[in-house]
Amino acid sequence: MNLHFASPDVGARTLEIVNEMKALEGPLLPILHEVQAEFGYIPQEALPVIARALNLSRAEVHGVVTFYHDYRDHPTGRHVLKLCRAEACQSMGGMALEDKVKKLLGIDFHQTTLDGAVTLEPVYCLGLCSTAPAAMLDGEVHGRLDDTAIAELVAGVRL
Amino acid sequence: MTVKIYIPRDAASLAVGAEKVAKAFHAEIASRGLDVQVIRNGSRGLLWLEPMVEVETAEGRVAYGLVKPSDVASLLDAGLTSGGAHPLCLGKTEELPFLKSQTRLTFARCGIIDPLSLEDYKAHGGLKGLKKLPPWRRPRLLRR
Repeated sequence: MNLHFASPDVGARTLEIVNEMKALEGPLLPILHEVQAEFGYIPQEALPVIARALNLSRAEVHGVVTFYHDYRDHPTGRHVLKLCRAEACQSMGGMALEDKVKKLLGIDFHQTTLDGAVTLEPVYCLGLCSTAPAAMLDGEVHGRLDDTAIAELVAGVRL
Repeated sequence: MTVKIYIPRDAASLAVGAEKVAKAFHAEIASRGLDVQVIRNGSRGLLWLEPMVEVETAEGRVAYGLVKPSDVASLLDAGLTSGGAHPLCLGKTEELPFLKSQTRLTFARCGIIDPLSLEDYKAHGGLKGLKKLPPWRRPRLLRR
């Protein structure tokens, strides 16, 4: 596993991001998005910087970060595959698809393959009920997935 | 005259391959030297038929459903640009029972309008409210 140490400039870079965005109305979520885009996750070191700049307690920032599952406290693999597990997708065979993906990758949800290629996440929901079962690979949506289509997606990320 | 083809770019259409279909159309149009404009619109709402490609004809829009990139060449061979017959052809969009029996309000213009065209926006009633303002209060956009 790649041990990922936040570089010493996390605080400085976070402060730059905060200063750029703190004038927004409701700046916390956009700031956290930007921090995650910058580092690939939300480093612990970023939290006190954000809290101080926004005049929030560190607990409040922590609460927001942990409430939204999209924010991560550790880096992911090179690709992130999110499988929709909500009702419509389940009713269209999403569970069987999940099993298939887990077997193909050899990992469970919230885990990353040993080669660092892909992280598997559940998601509730992608809003693609009409084209269920659905998945999102690196921000791109895929619907009407069957065994062949999901195997192709998985093969693509393992290259 | 430039023929207009509509290919949706909403999330559901993208999830079932609308982007690849659009790419295939662009490639075929370029290689055949056709005078065709590809417009990326919202879905008409018949998500089970996406990617649904429409073409503007003199009699209104004609739809082709469940289009795959590999169908694009045969669709153009069959004369899609003039609403030609093809196994994927669904006929006139407005005559599809799903749409015909609906009165649309909130989504009335979704899929019909070219979202990036100000002219199209105006043609569908855009800016009407702002035009009621006295001239000196109108935004710059309307003063031109």
